[in-house]
Amino acid sequence: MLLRLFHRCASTSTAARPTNFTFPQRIERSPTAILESLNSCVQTDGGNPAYMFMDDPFLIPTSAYEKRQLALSKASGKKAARWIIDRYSYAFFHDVAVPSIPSYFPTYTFDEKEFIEPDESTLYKLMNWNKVTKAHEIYKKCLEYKIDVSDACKYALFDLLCIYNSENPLEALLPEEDWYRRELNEKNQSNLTSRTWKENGLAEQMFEELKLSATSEQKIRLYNSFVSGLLKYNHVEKAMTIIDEMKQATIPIDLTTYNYLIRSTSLIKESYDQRWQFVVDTLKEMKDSSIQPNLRTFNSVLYTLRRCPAYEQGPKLALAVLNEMRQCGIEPSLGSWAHVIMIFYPSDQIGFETQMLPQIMDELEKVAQLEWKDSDDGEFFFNAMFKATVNCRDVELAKRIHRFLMVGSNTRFIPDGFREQLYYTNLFRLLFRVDMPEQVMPLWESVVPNVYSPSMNVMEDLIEFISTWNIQDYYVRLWSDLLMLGFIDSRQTNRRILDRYLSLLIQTNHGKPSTEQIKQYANIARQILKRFPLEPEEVEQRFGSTNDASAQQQEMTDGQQEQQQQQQQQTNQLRPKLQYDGHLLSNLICLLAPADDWEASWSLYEHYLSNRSTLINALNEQSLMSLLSLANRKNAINSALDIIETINELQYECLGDALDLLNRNGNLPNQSRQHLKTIQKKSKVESAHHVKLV
Amino acid sequence: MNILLKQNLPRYICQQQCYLSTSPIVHSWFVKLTNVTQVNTEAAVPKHTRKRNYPLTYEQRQFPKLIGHTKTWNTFNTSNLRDGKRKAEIVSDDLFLRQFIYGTWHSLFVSELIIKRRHNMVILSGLVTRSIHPRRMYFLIGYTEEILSALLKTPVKMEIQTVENKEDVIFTYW
Repeated sequence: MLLRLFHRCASTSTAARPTNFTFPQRIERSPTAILESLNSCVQTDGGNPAYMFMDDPFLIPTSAYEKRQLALSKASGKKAARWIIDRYSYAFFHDVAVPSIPSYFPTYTFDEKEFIEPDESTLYKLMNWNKVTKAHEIYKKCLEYKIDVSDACKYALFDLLCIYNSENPLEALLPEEDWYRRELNEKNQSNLTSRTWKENGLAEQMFEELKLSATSEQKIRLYNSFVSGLLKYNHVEKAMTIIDEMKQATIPIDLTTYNYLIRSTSLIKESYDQRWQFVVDTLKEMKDSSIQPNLRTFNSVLYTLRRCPAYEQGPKLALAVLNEMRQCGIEPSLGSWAHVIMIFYPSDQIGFETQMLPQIMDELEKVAQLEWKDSDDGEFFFNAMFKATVNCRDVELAKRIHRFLMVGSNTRFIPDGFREQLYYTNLFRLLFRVDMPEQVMPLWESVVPNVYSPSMNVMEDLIEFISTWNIQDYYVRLWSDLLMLGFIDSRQTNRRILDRYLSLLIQTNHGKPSTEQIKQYANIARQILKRFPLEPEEVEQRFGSTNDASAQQQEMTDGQQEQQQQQQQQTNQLRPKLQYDGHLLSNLICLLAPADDWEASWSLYEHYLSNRSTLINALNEQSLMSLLSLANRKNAINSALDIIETINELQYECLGDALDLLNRNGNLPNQSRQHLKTIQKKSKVESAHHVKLV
Repeated sequence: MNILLKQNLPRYICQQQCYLSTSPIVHSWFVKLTNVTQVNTEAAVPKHTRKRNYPLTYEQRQFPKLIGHTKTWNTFNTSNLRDGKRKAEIVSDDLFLRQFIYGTWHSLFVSELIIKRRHNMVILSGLVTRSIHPRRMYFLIGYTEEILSALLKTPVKMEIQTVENKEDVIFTYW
């Protein structure tokens, strides 16, 4: 037995095991590591609305207009709350949070008491709270009262004045508003190269003052901040003069100034060669003063190259710049790639031969996690998709870019709503033109309506696409999609979509729709009529055309009658008014008649007859023929004769077929046959005379 | 609450059923009520109306004795567990929140406000009628979240669900 034990021990010890055991080192993780890893499992999902919206069908916006409305109303609510918090601030000081959360407190207002005795600490406080102009005032007061202000404070104030162009920095918008900042902030839309620097503003005054008393080190800081500010706000001439001063006084220029200088090259020099020469000279100067360029420098170089559209040397130089970057050990950021794309594909026609975009995508897909390194990074996805769809017209490439966008949290690199709208518009316009439904429709459904609400052009392309590929199953679904996306209303701009959609439903060149579909199309027509009721004429309203109205009038007294008419008028004004024209009426009749809906079709026909003078087009042949066949089926002989008379008036070619159709009806009384014969005799249409009437 | 007391007497003596009232008002030492209407009322348990048309939601129909059985609480927090902190503050905050929502959302909430606390966040849920336009509803949501966060110094989120009208939540008539 002992032998057995020994064997057991021996067998376990001789099994393959590492002879020494090392404890694994503890991996230091950040406090939010778990949250970050959970975040990496979550992707952009097209099935849910954006986070700022409530997850309830009544409160989920689907069209672009609704999304903007609801986001901005939420922001408005927050602003209202902020107003109350500031107004009744005494109620909001009880604090239970450790550490305190400053944004939950009323905004700090400086009261006048603090400014009676200007002091350096007041200056620092004001600067911290972004009140730069007030800080300057207090500084002036300090000088008056001969109070000593330290140099550090002075120079900090001067730097702030340069950075913010002698104004207070703009307040950060709420996240809901920030998404729409392009529309809310008109400054963005103006020309980015216009000069906005304030002449003789506070910054310049302070510059003059400090120049006199500055030591050489302080002068470096002073001049550099001033030039950077000037270049940031595009005041190029003065910047160049100050730079010349600096060179004469041998004040070294630092990295930030060089970056701004390179970025503004396109404002300094005119011709492309001169610009490139200037950039090269600046870079040489940097090298001589042994300043290492950073990512911003290279992005500025690429930006300058991009501002030289259709420069032949452009692509070559861009590649050279990228090589330099790699040699300096700086990884190109998304911003660099954005500029490179614009350099290689400068306009809509040039450049679809280069394989630059696929190569860029190869590079980027190797990067594990994209980071936001530079302020230009937000342009990458928009530029890439724009060029892929407009220049290259390459579906695979576009899909690749889109897949890359959906990886992880890369969607944050499309910083505002305007760019996102354009990104998806470009993507879908290409796909609708080139690709097949099996691949496009799943993508469409994953993105619409929560992530992207299409604009009218895209919807038109979609309807084109559907009609080309004859995806009949989707026709009815398309109606509810159009309603959801806000394209069915009385606005004139959306009229095209409505007309286009109805003609899609009616077209017969792809075979007859099934009875189920006929019923659904008729439902759609009825919904349209319900939404946009036919306007009764003023005359009819006053005298009560329908029987119901007249019966009601007999019951009520005069006063009540007037009231009712007034109310009716009010509701008629509030309801959307769609301009009915003959074209629309014909389409509706074509939809309703095959479904055997006699009343609706006949009322539309009567509406046409009574308003013939005001309606634009006439009813077309197809609708009249379908109405006639319906009348035939229902044996409404008089109505049928009426329709034939209208066809005769409008002198349509189909009169012959119409006569023939009615002729074949066995139940036709002799009177009607006589009537038919008289119509045939009187008609001016050729084909009518060829029909044999019994 | 009236309970049935079965006295443990031998079987040959008829078993007397004794109705004892457990209403706290009746047994209190310093308030001696004999008034029938005051003595026989019970919290959150309505008496049948003559016309049987007093509407009750499903939650209201589950009377308080079922809390913990088929009915849960309307606030969820860990203050009552071992080492739970801030019991009193959480209760008073809850009362304030209910009154605030009742006053700000005018007749819109058709259910009780459900208050959930997670870490330092407060999440408010409830059923809301669709009597106002979504624009106004989002205004109220933004306003409520911002002002309650500033008052309680904790992030406050609202997660509401909408219901067509008040009749949809009426379960029975009592």
